[in-house]
Amino acid sequence: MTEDRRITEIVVAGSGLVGFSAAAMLKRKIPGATVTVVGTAPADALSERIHATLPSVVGFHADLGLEEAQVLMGTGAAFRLGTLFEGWSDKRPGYVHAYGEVGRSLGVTPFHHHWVRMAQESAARGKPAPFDSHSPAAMLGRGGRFVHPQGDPDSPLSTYEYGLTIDPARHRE
Amino acid sequence: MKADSVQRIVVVGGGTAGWMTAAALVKLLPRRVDVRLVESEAIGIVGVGEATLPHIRAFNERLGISEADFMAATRATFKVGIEFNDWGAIGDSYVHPFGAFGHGTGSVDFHQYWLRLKQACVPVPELQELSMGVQVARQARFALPSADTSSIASTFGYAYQFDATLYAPFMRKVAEEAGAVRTEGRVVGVTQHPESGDIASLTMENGEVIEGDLFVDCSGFVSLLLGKTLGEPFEDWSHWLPNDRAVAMPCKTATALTPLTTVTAMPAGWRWRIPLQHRTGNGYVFSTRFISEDEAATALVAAVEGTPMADPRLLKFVAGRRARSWVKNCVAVGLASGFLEPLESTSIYLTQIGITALIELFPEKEISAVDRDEFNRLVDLEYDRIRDFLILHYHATTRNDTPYWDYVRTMSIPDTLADKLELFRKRGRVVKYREGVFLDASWIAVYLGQGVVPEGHDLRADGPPLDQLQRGMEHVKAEIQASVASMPGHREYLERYCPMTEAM
Repeated sequence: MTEDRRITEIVVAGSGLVGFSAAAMLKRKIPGATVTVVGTAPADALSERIHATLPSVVGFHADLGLEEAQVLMGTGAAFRLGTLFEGWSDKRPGYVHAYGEVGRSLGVTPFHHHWVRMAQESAARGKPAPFDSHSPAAMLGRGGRFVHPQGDPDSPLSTYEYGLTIDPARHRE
Repeated sequence: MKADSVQRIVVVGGGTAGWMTAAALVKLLPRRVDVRLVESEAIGIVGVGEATLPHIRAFNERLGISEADFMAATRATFKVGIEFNDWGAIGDSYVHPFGAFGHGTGSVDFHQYWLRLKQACVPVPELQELSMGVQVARQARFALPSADTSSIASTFGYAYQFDATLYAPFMRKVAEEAGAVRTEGRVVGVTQHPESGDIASLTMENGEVIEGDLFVDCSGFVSLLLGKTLGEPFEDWSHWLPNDRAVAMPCKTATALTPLTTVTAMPAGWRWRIPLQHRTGNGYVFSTRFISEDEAATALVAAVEGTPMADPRLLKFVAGRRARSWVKNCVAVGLASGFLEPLESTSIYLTQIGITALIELFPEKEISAVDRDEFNRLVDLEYDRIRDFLILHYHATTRNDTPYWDYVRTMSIPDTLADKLELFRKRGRVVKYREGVFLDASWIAVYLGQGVVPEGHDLRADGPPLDQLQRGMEHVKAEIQASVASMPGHREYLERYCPMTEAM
């Protein structure tokens, strides 16, 4: 692109969490552009009322050059490893959808195939433990515990990611 | 699924597809299948496919095949990329390597920084000098890629070049040792179940009737089961890929033993040169709309580097694929399912992914349409993406020296390719695929090698200062040179690692 075709002025309409997030990232990544945020946050915006985020938020903050400790102290955010779904499946217990691997592949076959086979052939051996009990992230979450993913690729503690539970108003500030 | 339901699989046709299929089925599904392969010595195999893609290593590993044994038995050499000569314009030469440009990491693609420097008219090494794979290939060196991902020596991959007439017998040994049964003879009839139309049995020339639950059609271009019996229509792509013949001939190797397949554009097609341990394979892939078979054979003989070791051999084909590769209880693998010219060594790859998809979606006796549809989706996607990639090599040219090149330069192309080309021309952006064989680095190598130069680049590459980037590029170039210089020569490596067993 030749210099005179570059965009140099960006206006972000809406000063809620979404608006400021976009403005911050654009300012950081588009060299030489001014970014102006105008207008108010929408009064009943969904993004101002939802507290759960996905692991992508961790990368987003890092891309903005924010230190995680800085974010947590400044916003009072907490870690989240996944979501517990209670009562969604009629006769079945609650299950956790966690952000990470469940079990380990055996050879080239993904873990869940082996689990399904055990579940189908359970008559002789008894049912296998619930699927999510094989997920390190789910078990940490159920136990109300947290550690950062760590260790070498063989360690179960290296196989998951985490998001944040945020207070949108403080996050926006 | 009951553990005792063993399925009877009948594979029609030996050759590379048939024996790869039989070997994989018996080794990977040992208690689930009974595999019988029928082939006739009277029917020749195509057996010209000589260069491969890195995926074949995973296939061999899964079957427990030792690399050194396999390379010695098939008289193989290593392949680190393909050299394209005279494609964008006469005199052009570029390598499409297996591997990345730069270190291949980072959220902004390496080539974007390179584009920025070029567009700012800052002196910078050519992108070919910033690829480990290209330099290993061009300097005829070889060593196994490093497992240390922080090292530049980990940023390339490799495949093999081998004698295709030896690969099928090698796989046959693997298959028979694992329990596959071979039947010699010709198929003269096929019977179908009256209601479902599923294939019930084959009738052999000697009267034997062979029943099966699942039939794998590896009968080659004739597509005896899928095409002839079940009548599956063929999608003809010859308006985009006009080549319809290949004339092949081996010769004595008279120039360097490169870990490279060389592909040179010709007046009405292109010529391959593939060095093996015992000889060099050559072929002229051409279009009879623009040149006669005799003229092509003459041109090939005149062009080869060393003494011919056999007469030129002619093969006919049509570019395209069957609408579906799996219909009822018949799965076509290899040439029976479709064909794309070997410009990017994709034939054995397409055979391999058909086999892998079949094993991962392996049916019960009652075949579920969901499995079959997913198989077809995967196979069709691979064919269509490769087709677009091949068309790019032809269409992105400035050549106007023969009617053939005028045709491919001006023909209309699939929308899927036109969209991708436009995206790249604008700012060097490559569509990110999760499936399919050719990923970003391959598309970039060919776009830039064929002279498709973007007008712009990813703005995120504007972050670092220009002089820092320029120094970084020079550093990568030097790193690569040092790493390549520390490798043994390709021939030397082969002699130590996997020398072929008989002298030729």
